[in-house]
Amino acid sequence: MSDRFELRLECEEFLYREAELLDDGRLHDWLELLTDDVEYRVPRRVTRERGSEESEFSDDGFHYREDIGTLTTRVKRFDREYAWAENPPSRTRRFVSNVRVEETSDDEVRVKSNLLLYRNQGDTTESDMLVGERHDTLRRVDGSFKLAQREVQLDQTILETRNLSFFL
Amino acid sequence: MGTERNTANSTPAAADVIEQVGSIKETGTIPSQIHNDDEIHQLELERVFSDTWVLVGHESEIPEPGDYAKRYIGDSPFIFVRDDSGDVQVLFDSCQHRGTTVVRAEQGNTSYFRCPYHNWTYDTTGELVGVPHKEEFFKELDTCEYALDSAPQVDSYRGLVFACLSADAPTLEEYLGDFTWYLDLHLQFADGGMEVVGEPIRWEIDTNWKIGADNFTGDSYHTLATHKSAMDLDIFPPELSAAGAERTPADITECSGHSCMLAYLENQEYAGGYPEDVFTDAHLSDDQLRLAKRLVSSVGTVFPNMSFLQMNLNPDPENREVTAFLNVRKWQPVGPKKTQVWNWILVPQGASEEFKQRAYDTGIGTFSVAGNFEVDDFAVWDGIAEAAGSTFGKKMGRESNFQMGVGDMSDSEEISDEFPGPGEVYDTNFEDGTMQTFYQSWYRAMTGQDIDSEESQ
Ligand code: FES
Ligand SMILES: [Fe+2]
Repeated sequence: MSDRFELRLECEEFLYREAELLDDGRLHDWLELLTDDVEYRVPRRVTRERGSEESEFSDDGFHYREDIGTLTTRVKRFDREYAWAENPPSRTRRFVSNVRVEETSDDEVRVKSNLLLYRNQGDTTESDMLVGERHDTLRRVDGSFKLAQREVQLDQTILETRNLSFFL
Repeated sequence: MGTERNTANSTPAAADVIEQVGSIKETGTIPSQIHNDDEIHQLELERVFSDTWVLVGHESEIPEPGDYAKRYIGDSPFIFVRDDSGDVQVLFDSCQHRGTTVVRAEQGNTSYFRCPYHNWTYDTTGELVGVPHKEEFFKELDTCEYALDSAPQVDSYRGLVFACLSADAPTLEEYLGDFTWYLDLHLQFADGGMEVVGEPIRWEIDTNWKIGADNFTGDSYHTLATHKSAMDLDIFPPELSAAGAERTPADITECSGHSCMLAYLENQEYAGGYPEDVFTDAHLSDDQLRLAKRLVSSVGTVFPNMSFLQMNLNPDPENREVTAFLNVRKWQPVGPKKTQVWNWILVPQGASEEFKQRAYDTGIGTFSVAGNFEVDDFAVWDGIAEAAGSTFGKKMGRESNFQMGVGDMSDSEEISDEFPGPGEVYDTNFEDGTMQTFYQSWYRAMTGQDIDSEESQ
């Protein structure tokens, strides 16, 4: 097996494990997978004309722009009985695929993957679907990966969900 | 004033439901049915959204000539554009040839709008400047008569651009009336005014547009329940919240048809959400500036569907400081049970870049589709529309209650005489007068009256 193949397997294993924690609602364990200086961003996507000089992904408009402190506050809030957005909890399933190792340095790997997130909640057949591409930086800390950066580039400009009370 | 507008074409059943809303000042209740009903929704598009002033955007979103954004008034598409001479236009997005929309993107910069169907081309003022093969096939066509239609009335207030689809309706100045006193507290306290950061965040919720609009007139009662988790974690420090003994409350009702709630720290010269050095006495009265510096929380609705919110919040109480931001909202009616939320975050134009970023992050981190304060609202609002549209709910004439704190329900007192600002003002945030004002304006708009007309039912 080539090193490159092994590295991709290692990244996939991390991402699958991470998705499992999020789907299972083990959010405190998920926080353990983040570095202390984690940058977590979901930019606003904008419908632009083909050929526009401006990126579809906004530089200054965001759905999420978080660090470890704000993410931790969110997780603590979900523990509360009165956090109605997640009571009853969402049923989510994250499908992470098309994992591509983009760049490596001594202790960091930049990896892209596709995310398909299904969410159903409450007494209804209706569901939300959030789809996008993750741009992650994984960092080796004490021999295992942690998430140091994530930008999720969504395939929607007007979000098809009543609220983002979960992580992408 | 009071132009008679067309109010025919409603069924007796719908007319009856609308009439009941007109009694809200006496009954304190409205039929829940108006929160999910096909006919009422259609009538709202024809009356409320055709005869009142509706928010289009903020001037800072289109700073350069040719900057444009696609916007909606009710269900009608418009182009919000700064033309080549620097003026703001609000043009109906429908080609004068066969009517398709000419704008394909959400926003951008252009020197002309070219229709994709047969390539008629308009400049940024809406003038028709190009008709392919005109000399061969359209010799007689007078292009002067085929400019894109402008919204019948367009005007702005402190950077906020509004349009009205009726030429007969009062001017924007008359329409906002005394309520500008309160808008100014949030828009005019700093030199340079306020500016929008980023693009408006848009998403859709399964409820009626009026639920968001009425909540934002000042439902302080729900804060204690719906947002208890945010207070428990100091995201909204409890001493600043509706439960806090420190804060002085004021509910502003009957203010030219609009309403809001304010809470401020009477005994502190400065409440601390914005940097102290951005405040200026240049544009506010002494009373206004005094209040603006002390505000910790305010929400309001400009009838029909523009709301604003300014709060001192903290998305990470262990590591960050309490920060203020201005949230401007539009509750776009998409269906009787579907609302598109448009969410802008504004910051003082003259503040430091560091502060602007912190204010933006506080804003989207608390009040937006992922706002850790607001996500809980969207989880409960769906249910209102669900029950309101149900057969049994309609059959039994289910009513929604807006009686809290009104009349003998509480010891709250009217303080309009002492309070420096206009409107009917009460010394509490726990009263439903702000919402009664909203539904009274709705009744008036649905029955062809101006929203601040004296004649009630
Ligand atoms: S519809 Fe626009 S050019 Fe024909
Ligand atoms: Fe709320």
